[in-house]
Formats: sequence, structure tokens, C-alpha cells
Amino acid sequence: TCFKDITSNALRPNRNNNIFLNTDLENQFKAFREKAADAMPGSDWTPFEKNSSLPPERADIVIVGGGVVGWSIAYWLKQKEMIRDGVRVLVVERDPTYSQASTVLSAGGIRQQFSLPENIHLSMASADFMRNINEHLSVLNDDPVDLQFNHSGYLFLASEKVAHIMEENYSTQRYAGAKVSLLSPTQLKEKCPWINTDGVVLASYGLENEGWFDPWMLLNAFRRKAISMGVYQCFGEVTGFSYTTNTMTTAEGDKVDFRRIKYANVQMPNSLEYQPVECAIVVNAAGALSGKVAEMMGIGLGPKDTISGIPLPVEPRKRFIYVVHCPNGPGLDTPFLVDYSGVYFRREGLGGNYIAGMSPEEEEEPETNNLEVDHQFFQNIWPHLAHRVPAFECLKVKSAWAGFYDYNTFDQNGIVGMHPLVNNMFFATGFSGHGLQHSPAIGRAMAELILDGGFKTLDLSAFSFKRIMTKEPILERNIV
Amino acid sequence: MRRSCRQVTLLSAASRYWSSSPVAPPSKQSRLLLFLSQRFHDIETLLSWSSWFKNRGQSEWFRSDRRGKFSWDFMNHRDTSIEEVDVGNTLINYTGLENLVKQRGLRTLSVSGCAEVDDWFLSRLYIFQDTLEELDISNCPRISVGGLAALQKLRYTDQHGRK
Repeated sequence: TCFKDITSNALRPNRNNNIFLNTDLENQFKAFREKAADAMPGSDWTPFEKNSSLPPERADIVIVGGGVVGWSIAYWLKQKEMIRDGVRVLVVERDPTYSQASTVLSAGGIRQQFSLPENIHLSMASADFMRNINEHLSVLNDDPVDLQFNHSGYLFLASEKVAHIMEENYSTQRYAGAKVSLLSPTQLKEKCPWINTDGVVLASYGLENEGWFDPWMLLNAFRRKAISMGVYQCFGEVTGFSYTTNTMTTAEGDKVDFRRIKYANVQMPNSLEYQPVECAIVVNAAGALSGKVAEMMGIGLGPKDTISGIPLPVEPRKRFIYVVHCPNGPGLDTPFLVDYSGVYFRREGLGGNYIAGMSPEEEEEPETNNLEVDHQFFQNIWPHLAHRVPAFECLKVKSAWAGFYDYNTFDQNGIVGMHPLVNNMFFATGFSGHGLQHSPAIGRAMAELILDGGFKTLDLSAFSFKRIMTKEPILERNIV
Repeated sequence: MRRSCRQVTLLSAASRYWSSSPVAPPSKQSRLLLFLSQRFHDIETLLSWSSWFKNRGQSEWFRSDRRGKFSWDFMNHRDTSIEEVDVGNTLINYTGLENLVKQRGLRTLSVSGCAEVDDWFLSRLYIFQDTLEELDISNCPRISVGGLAALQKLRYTDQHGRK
């Protein structure tokens, strides 16, 4: 394209002598210029027909994973590029139906009530984005984006044991600027008469920018806008990388392999056909499958006590959500309630339906080879629900579904940044259940990291891969 | 300090004479009306200074007259708090609420007919949760169920609104 621009400017006749304007000669010149540009190496033209569902042969940035984080990064990369068509971005998603994608199976909540200031700022920035979403993501002549955001707020309940953690978190949240309020049991009972405050010592309620929304709408908004800005989309699976290795020796005499990805092999669904995409940067936003993508680069397959032996600690964890119907339930005013036992529920729609779930204990983690729902697990949830909300003693389970968390087994917080040994692979994964609510801000941070070389608006250097190498976890205490 | 950019909205609002809150007849207590417009920079700056408008015993609305000029009489009541605000049919939105945030004694708010009032605006009204008694959100096309869920935070309010 650069070549095309130079030649077209040089050969275009001066506006003052417009003898050649729009004549047949001018059109022939234009066709010649386009052919010449196509003949140059680096253009997309091939002399023989190829399958149009294949990705382009060359892309600047390949984003592995077409979930909300991947498309958010693609949108922000295009938003921040300095010149038109400055970067060619390709998003590779292996499942066009999104049947197993964590994004669309999520409960869709957003909250500022975290214990880490970085997480709080990420949520606040994402809420700001969603408030002005049409300024960012509206496409000309198309419908405006409607996230169906319910501003119900999150209500966390704390027992005697964890009340001090909640108080510390409250001051962190307030200091970061989140609008949260603490409630005593009497205030809680006054606000929510349907609650049983037995065992509750303190409650924390988010006053603003908290609630839930439709994840599919957000994903589609990002996707539609990114495609309109020129992002390439490919449905295929990344099965491997071709890389060059540069071996260097440390001062002690150990050999360290620095790898650089040259090609990403994208295989078409249900076919042996694949396209090696020559790329400069690969972003691993594959969610629950990020660990597998990292293994393709040999991350974690080296000798045990070296940096290359440390795998990406992200694995899929299955979580269930049950839809229950209770006609006498809390109603329109229900916040997204999270009990100290780990059970959470929120209202769904206006017909007396609620969705409920619970994170299982480490020992009881379900199998992750499929998305089958274990209905027996609901028997663990129901007693807690009924204890907290007496109206839930008579409810009926209407349906259920399961989804994967991209669970960071190290410290349940996102991994954002470059890998120390693979010079051009960036990670944006491991968010363990709060990837969706942070996705707009993560996309912006990744785009700044890639295009500007460092974080500009939010400093997420605490989430880098370095902490995994030095074994210093930054724990988020408020995981649901 | 006259602004030349008086908007048509101010003029049309000025033609309304008495209270625009359709519910209760004006009580004997102090009522002050302040028409805020996003372009009314002078008023916005004055409001952002320390509390003003603590006048009790005032029973008329402060509003701009037919030509859009705003009388400066309210400057006589510098330390009173505003109790009723009517910003109906203006372009007030979430950012515009910044101007009202300091009014801790607000009892009535009417945003009837405002095209830019949406769910996020409603979610910010928790600021007045202790004092707001009447809220009029009729004829606001951008409000949906999600915003009504936010109104649970207002404790004493008696809400009414028509789509």
C-alpha cells in the first residue's frame, strides 16, 4: 500500500490542467499502478485461486482466540494505529458457533469490588467504556449497541471470619475511586427485607458502575467495529508455530534459547488444509486453551528448573450456572448477591427467574473434557441459597449450562505482557472469571503495550509473566 | 457575564410559569428553581463553589425569562441549599450531573423529557439517596429496565414516570 500511495501521488496530474482527469487514459494509469503494486512482494495477490476462507499469508499481528478479550485487543489496535492500515491484524477463532467460548457462557457481571487496585481500576475503566459504548463502537448506518446493562450492583456478604478482609478491601476500593458502601446487618435487612442476615456481620454494596450485561452483545459490538476498521477474521485453529531460535549463554554457562515466532500455522476446520501466516507479533488470548497454545511454543517443555520449564499456568476450569424459577423471590431490586459460602445469584429477566452458581472447592473440581452439567452439584448450592433467602426454599431448576474459566492456577489473576523467552508472544489470559468485565481495559492496555511499547493509561506491570518466574503471587482475595 | 449562546431550550422552558412537577402543589416551604443548562457556564462555576442557596421562605422559582436572560437575584441567597431542581427538556446527561452532585439537600428532581438521560444517569442518583423525595423521569426515551433496577438505592423516594 505504501508503494501504491507514492506512485499515485507522483503520477497524478495537477488539478489545474485537468485534461487527463477521469478520462480513459487516467483510468488505465490507475489500473497499471494497482497491478504494479500487486506484483510487488508483500501484496496479497496470487496468480491462482485459493480458498477464500484461508487467512492472508502475511499479517502484522495474529491474535489467537476470538473471544471478547481477543476482539477487544483487535479493536484497540486499530483504534490506536497512527496511520490508516498501519497494522494488519488477524483474529483466529477456532469455533464459529462459539459453543464452548467462555465469553458467551458467562454470567456477565461487572464489579469494582476487588482487593487489588489494578483490578479495581480495570473495572472502572471498562465501566466507563461501556457507558460511552456508542461513542467507541457504533458503526455508521448500523444499529446502536445496546448492552442491556442492569445497574443492580453487587452485594457481598461477610461472616465473622472474613469481615476484616472486607473492611480492608473497602478502603482499597474507596481509595481507588470505586463507589462502594458498607452495610451493617440492620441496614442490610432494611434495604433487602427478603434476606436472612443470620451469620452476616458486614455487607459491601456497590453503588455505581456495577451490575451485569449481555456478553454476546459486547463481543459482537467489538467484532463488528473491528471488522469495519479492517481487522481480518479467520475461523481456524492455530496448530503450531514456526520459529527461529537464538541460543545465548548466561554468565554461569547455562544455555538459554530465545525464540522468535516466524509463522503461525492456521488449520481450517474439518480439513487438513492449513496456512502458515507470516507474522510479527502473536497475542495469546485463547482463554481456557491458552496453556495449550503456549505449549506449542515450547513454553513449559524445557528442563524443570529453567525459565523455559515454567509452563503458562492457565487451565480450563468448569463452572456451572443454574437457572431457577421462584415466583416469590426478591424481584426487580435484586442485586448480584455473593454470599461468604461462595454461592452467588442474580436476577435474570423479569419473569421471576434467577441464575445461581457456586465455585467448587479445589478437591471437587469437575472434569474439563466436556461441558456437561452435573445437576447433582445444585444440591450443594440450594441449602445455602435457601438459608440466605428464605423465599428460595421453594424454587424450581429450569435449566443449566456450564462454561470454562481460564483459571490461573498460580494466583487467579490475569497474565498480561510478553514472555521473557519468546520475544514476540504476548499474553492476555488467565483472568479466572473476570476477563469479560475487564476486556475493554485489557484491550486498550495490550494495544498500548504493543504499539506504544509500554502501558500508558493503566499500569498493569504487576500482571506480567515475571511474577510467575519469581514465584511471587499477587493474590486476589475476592474471587467468585 | 452574559453569554450570547442562549439556547432555544431555555426559551421554551421559560414559557412554563409554575412548577413543572405534576404531582404535589407547591408547599409553603422554600422552593427554589434553578434552570441548568450545559452551556450555562457561569452558573456551573458558581455552583461548584461552596454551598449556596440556603434560602428558606422563598416560594418562587428561579428561571430564565422569555428572552433567555437569567436574573441574578439568586445571588442574594448565597448560603441556601437547593431543594428542587427542574431540568426537564434539557440535554442534561451523566456528565452534567456533576453540577448537581454537591446539592445534598435536594428533594425534588425532574428530568422529564430529557433525551440524553439514560440508565447510567439513573445509576448516579444514589448520591441523593437520603434526601430525594420526588423524581420525575417521564418521557425519557433512553431509560430501560436496567436503569430502574438502579433506583432501588433511593430510599424515601416516591417515583412516577411514564414512557
